[in-house]
Amino acid sequence: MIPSSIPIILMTALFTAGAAFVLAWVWRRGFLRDFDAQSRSIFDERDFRVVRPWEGPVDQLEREMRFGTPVAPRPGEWGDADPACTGAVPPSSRHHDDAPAPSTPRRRPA
Amino acid sequence: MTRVWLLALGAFAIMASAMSLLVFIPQAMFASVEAAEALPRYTQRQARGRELYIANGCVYCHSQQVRDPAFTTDVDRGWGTRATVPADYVYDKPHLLGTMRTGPDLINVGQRLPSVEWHLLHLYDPRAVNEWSTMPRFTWFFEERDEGQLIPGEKPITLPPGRAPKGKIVVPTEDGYAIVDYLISLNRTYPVSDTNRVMKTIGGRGDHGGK
Amino acid sequence: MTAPPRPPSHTPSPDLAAVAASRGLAPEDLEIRLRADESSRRIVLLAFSVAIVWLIVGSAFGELASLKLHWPELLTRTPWLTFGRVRTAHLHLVNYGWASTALIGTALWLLPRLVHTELKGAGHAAVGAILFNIGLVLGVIGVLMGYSDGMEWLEAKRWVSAPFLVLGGGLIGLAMFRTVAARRTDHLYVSVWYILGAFIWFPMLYLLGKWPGWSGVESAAVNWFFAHNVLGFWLTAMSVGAAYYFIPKVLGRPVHSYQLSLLGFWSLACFYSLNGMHHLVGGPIPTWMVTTSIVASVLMFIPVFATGINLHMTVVGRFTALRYSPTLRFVVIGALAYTAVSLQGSFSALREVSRITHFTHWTVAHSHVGGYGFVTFVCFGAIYYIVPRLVGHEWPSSKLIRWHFNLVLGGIAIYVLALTWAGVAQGLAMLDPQIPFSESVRRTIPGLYGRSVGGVLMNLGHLVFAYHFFLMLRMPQGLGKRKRPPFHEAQPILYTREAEGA
Repeated sequence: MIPSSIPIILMTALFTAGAAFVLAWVWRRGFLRDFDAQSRSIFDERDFRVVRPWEGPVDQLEREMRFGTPVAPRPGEWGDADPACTGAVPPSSRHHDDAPAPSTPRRRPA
Repeated sequence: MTRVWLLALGAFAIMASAMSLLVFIPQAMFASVEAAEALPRYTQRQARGRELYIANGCVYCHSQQVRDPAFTTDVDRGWGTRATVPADYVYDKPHLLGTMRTGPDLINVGQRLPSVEWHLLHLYDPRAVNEWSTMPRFTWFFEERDEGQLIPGEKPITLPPGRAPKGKIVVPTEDGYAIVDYLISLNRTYPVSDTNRVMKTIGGRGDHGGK
Repeated sequence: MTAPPRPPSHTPSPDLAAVAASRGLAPEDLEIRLRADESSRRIVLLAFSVAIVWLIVGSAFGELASLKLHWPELLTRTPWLTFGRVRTAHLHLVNYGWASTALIGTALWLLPRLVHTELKGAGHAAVGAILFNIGLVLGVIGVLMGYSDGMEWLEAKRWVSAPFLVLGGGLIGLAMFRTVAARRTDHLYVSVWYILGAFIWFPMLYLLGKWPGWSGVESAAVNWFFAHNVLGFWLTAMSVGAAYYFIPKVLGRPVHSYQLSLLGFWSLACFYSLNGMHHLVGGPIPTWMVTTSIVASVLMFIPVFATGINLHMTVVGRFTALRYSPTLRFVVIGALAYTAVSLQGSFSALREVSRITHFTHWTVAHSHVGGYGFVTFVCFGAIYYIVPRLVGHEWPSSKLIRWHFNLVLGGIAIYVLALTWAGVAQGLAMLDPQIPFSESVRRTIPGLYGRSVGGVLMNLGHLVFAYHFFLMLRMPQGLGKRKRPPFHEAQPILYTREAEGA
């Protein structure tokens, strides 16, 4: 196996060195600074404030304290269908916060 | 934009190196592999048969490779006398190594089952030959004619009692003969002096269960 | 109460700024999302519609193929319905038709949102999607007629389909890169890496695989380099990218560890790319190639654990969310299936295991844990999330969602259990030369029946899903014009939703 392992060993060493070099360069360039903040880039304020029906009162309070006034979820917010599933917020105080989404009158069975 | 360039370059480089390692370098090594003298090229009819094998998806149930007897029991099962080597496949374009054995391995079926009549019957009605078989019928390699309409020179296949269509005879078409010719040509039992030696010339031992 | 009119694209409605301000939200945030959604609306809905058609047709072919394996006399006199052609049609339609198109639709919706800009090139992306599908149709019809290039996953005739697939895919990829080029965000979220990577890798793989002139065992190496990497660098990459978005987004929590996602991405690229030869364990290729692939397959533990830990730890403690969100239900189960199928794959690559499982139905079961349990489920979750945002209202029926979920989950569970069992029985029988080959076939029959049963459930689930999608598109834009609920929602006047305990 000797003749065929030498190229493999050399290539592995080369690639590992190359990867290490690129990582070091990227770090020095500052791309990895504040890396964890990048994981928040998909959220806007509203995402953190939407009331999530599966969260208990403690979690919801924590959200309110950290991010501000809770916001009601829109219909279909979680990819769901049943309006009764979308919130712990009572129907009377639900409002549509994204105006251009056409407001649907609450659908009830005939 | 730097990040996107970095990402794109990194992605490209990794894929390109993998291709080099597993495709391009082996290709250079395989270039020196030649067919054994005992292995003829496919005749025109056999090549046509091979096309039909591909067109009908035979590879999805049948493999065409014998694994090393030190690794597993392909040889003990009677599917070959030795492990198959790259030189056995030089004329195969593309390969038909297969990944399923819903049916038996076929790389040496020509040595195991050399009878044209057997293959014709088996293609027309697999369960007339093996009642446990789940192979589809390939009736389009045949024509069903009324009895007495045989053209001189044609030879109908012999079906077991009860399995022939009523009042008809079954005659293979050119395609039927072609695919059987291909199947019978599948024979890689000729000796290769040392399978490992053959493999070494392309940079390794035959794959037989590791070190 | 009349609803405010739907605003034309790019012009913010006068209500928007007021509403945003009164809620203390930045109008730009809203605007970015809405413009992003609006720009991709048509093409994403087109992609999903086409994808769902292929899901139905492709699954039907799959069921037919499954039935033929234990009922060989079924439709056995028709050449274009022979098992060998039907199986290939199924593979193409579900992988290149359903999964690829649904993932493309998801990416076309995701990317503008992730880079905070509109989709650039939606027009030529739509043309590209149509061309891609023409190539696919030509390829599948060709296969059914007997025209095949012979290598698994690459059967569509080179000189017929390839121009359409390459041009179509290229136009779609161009839209992706143009959108990213116009980005208004500093950071590239991890999903962007996966999507862009996929659009770099798939063309490279396809060109390699379809290059004319491969022969002999070299063509086998190319075949399995392509087929395995199209799973990892196209289907998996796009699906993992989607999971990295939907799970945190719905839960409102960032992923557990962003550093792990960096590790996961690059280690996936490095190790997955070398896996392909594990399809040829024991085969007529040099040992070093197979060993490289086995080692790389085991090293896959690293990216799989990185991604798995990331996604699972993000969900941990909040599993009740799955009750409320179909998206989470599907995507989280999909992510679990990803971890499972990868561990199974690493395990199967070992020579000792391959000895038993190679050439058996085990491999088919394994491929469906990945292609269905993971990729298809992520697509379902993505569609449930995205479509309400494109049509402006929620899904009409939670009952249909429940039916869909239960049918497909039950179906794939039965499928995998039955077929895995059949594969192991088959493999053990084939290993013993004293046991005749016929016995290995006989022992698989019960498992194959089980697989067909699972397949029926999956097909039914797809029909439910397709019907629901159709209803969703048909609903008028939320103005309450529909006077009656769909027939399956009709209830006697005495009952309300609350009384049902929904």
